[in-house]
Amino acid sequence: MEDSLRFAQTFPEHEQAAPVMTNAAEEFFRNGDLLRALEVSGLVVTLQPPASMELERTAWTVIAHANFDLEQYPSAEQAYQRLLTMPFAEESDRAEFEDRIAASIYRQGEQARAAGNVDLAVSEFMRVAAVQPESEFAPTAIYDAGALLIVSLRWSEALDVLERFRMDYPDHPFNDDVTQKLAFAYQSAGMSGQAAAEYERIATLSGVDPQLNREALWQAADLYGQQGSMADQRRVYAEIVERYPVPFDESIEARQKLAELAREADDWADRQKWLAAIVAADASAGATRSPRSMTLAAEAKLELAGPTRDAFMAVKLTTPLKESLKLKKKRMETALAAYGQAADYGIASVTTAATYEIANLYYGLSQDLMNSQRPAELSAEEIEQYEILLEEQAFPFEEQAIEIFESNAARARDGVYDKWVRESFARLAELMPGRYAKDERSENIVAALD
Amino acid sequence: MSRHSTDKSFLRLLFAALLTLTLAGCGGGAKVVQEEGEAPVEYPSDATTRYARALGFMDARDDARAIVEFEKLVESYPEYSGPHVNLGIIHNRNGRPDVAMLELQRAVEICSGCAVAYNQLGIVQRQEGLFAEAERSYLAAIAADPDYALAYLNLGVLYDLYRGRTADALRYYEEFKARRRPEAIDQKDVVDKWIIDLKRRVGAPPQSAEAGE
Repeated sequence: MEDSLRFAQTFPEHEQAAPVMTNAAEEFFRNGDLLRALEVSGLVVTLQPPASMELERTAWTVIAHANFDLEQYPSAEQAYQRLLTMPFAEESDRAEFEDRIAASIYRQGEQARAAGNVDLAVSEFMRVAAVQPESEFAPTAIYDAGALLIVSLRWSEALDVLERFRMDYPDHPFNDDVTQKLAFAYQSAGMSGQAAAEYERIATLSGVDPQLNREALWQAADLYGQQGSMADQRRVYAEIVERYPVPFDESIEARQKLAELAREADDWADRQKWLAAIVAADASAGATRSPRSMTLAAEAKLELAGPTRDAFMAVKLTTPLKESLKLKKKRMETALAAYGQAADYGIASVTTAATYEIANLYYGLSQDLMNSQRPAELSAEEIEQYEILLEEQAFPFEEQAIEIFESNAARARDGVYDKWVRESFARLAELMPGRYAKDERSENIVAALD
Repeated sequence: MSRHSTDKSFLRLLFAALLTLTLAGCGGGAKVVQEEGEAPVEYPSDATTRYARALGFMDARDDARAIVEFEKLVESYPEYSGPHVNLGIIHNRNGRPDVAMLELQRAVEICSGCAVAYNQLGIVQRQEGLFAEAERSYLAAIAADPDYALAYLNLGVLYDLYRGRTADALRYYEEFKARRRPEAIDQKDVVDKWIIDLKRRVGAPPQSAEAGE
């Protein structure tokens, strides 16, 4: 082969020179001597007079493949482009060359990415889709461009690229991953609403870890909150409650969020609904019941007791006293039971509040008795007698209130000194000033410089 | 009387004394504040003058200006505890017990023998529910100055209301009673009643207020 080649190089104008050199180039390529293959095929395509179209096409094919294999992708791309301008040996060659062009550009993108040249890499990846939009490399290239832009923290460009991917390739298997990348990029770009929508999409993906679905919903709810879209936030938390009864600790927190959001929205009916849901969920949690769920349930129960207290307070003691007192006592029993149930959870902060409220119910009854409507038909003397009787009725309730306030205040000895213990001390200072209105003595001013 | 404790008349006397010293000492140099039975303590005239001005604002309830003056004084003279104690008092009465506590803790770090500072710290600690810490502070105040009456009273209140230690409370109320200044009439009557009530509760025979004097 070397002799033949020497002959052809010595007599390039000889009619056998081109076939000999082309044959040699192919042989070098087959044997893996890519540099020699390039050298000889380069001679073929520059022969004067030119080689035949078939030989020239063969030589360009060697040039293209050898450059590709040598990872000289710009040259490979040029050679494949040249081949596209020539008549094909077979029609199937067109598709192969086009694919090779796409591959060559894609590899240039990879090389730029490896060299840390983000701009060039993105440009090359995007050129794949521009030059060969139908190539199987095109979606991969766009995806890689988007991923590289995310890694480079270029959120706005990443979003453009990834949104384009979703639009151009709606059925591509990468779409699940694109959704996750879009969610991250929108969130990083501070576009909470769009990010939340993407996280909601993630929550519907079937090909991912179910934990990811669940966490995505939490993320979406949080982001809707950041954006101020309370309605969406409530919708998503409700979906979490609906779709994910387990894990229980998350599920009850979602209910708590819904109760908080209902309060923010002044939607008191909804708040009551979710507070009741917290109580019910905790009660049926079995082994998954936790200190946290019990605390939330106790707090919910305490708040749910509020309306029973208000209903008690609303009853005025009017004549005939027997009837109004009957209603008031009935409502008091309801309120006492409600606060008692709240206290039964044994959560310190709730117990002190419930105890305070219970004491206040007794005190309220004593005061309402004393301030009750007097019968109109009584004489002055009878009124006096009547008021003595009222006092006898009211006094035990006031005594009971004091005892309960004292039991709450006594929690200070165990180190419990929250708002309700303080309030109990304050009430006792009013009711029993001789024993409880004892303030420390402070200096008003200190003159010594020391 | 504790060398720290004050009332209005005492304060006015002190202002007058400080002003006199300031006027007399225009040539600069150290000034002397001396209390009965104690060795003279020398303070820079600049410090006493500025402290008197700050105390004046505080006495007039101009807390904003008093705070500014005391804080400047703290910067210039970090070795004195008095400005910290007064800052603690001001911040606590203005609903900032957290800041007050920091000032008072700094005060007792600077002056471990200042009963007033410990007493004020104990008050804030009690308000914040730090009962064990408050107890330690009151006891430290008593250790620093066994004649400082308010610390006994406040420790009694702590034991009485917040610790359930009735007998100890009674003991400290009586210690207070033995040390209180005769002119503190407003304190006398009410604490005497507390003592009578506590004696009844602990089973001791009640003693009349008159007999207790």
